[in-house]
Amino acid sequence: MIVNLLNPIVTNGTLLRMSDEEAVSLYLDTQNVNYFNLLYDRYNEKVYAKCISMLKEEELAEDAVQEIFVKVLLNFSKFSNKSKFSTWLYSITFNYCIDAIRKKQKGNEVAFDDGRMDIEDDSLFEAEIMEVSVIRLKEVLDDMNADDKSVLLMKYQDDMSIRDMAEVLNKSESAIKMQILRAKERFLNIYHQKFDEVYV
Amino acid sequence: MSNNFKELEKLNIQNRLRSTNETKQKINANIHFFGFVSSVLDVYLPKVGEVITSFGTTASRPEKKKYPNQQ
Repeated sequence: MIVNLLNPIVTNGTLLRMSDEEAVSLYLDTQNVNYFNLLYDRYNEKVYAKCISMLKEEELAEDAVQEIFVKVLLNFSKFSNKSKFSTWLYSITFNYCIDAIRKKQKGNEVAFDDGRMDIEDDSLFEAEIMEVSVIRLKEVLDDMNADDKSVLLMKYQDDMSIRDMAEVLNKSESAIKMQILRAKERFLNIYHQKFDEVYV
Repeated sequence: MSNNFKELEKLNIQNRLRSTNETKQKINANIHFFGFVSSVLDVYLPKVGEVITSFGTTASRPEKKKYPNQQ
């Protein structure tokens, strides 16, 4: 494999209109870095936002962005058009961050946990979570464990379907639904413990 | 209903300190490195194979005596 650095092949206008999947396929055919750079320009900010939400530290997040895109580059040939490129990229991102957090914590989970609320109506959770301010949202997410945080970000930040999330996390759809419900419960527990003066 | 998860994403992007080009340059440096390594392997790996096989054939060849008439 010899990387072709000199041949732009396509004009900027054509590049901008190109779909992610076309860019991947053309990168594999030509090894032209312009196609990779196009995907990087489209997604690096979103990947960074996920990494900083998950890893909390600027330096770790920047290193993660770099390593995730290198991983993407090395695994382009494994990308199948079964899912969207963005779904595939986010799966690499979330799995990378979850692994990094697990390595760092070595199995120690977050202190806030387990105050189960047993609320049957899921939509009540949703309405309450949506009312949390951005600053408090960040603080609560910072205190959540990696698995819960990742499902909430996938659901509310990326609008991913249950099916896509199941694919990303390699779980069944029913397991994902349960994980989301539990994550919402734990989110509200942490929220109330942090911000309610009297928590019943 | 406003979605503060998306607002948080925007805020995180706005607060990013390092320029995106800096990371891109590092990744491109990686691409160049991989390209270099793979082209080196393309060129030299077959030769390494040849050297290894030639060792194998010389090892199996009967040793020539330096002085054939010597007992």
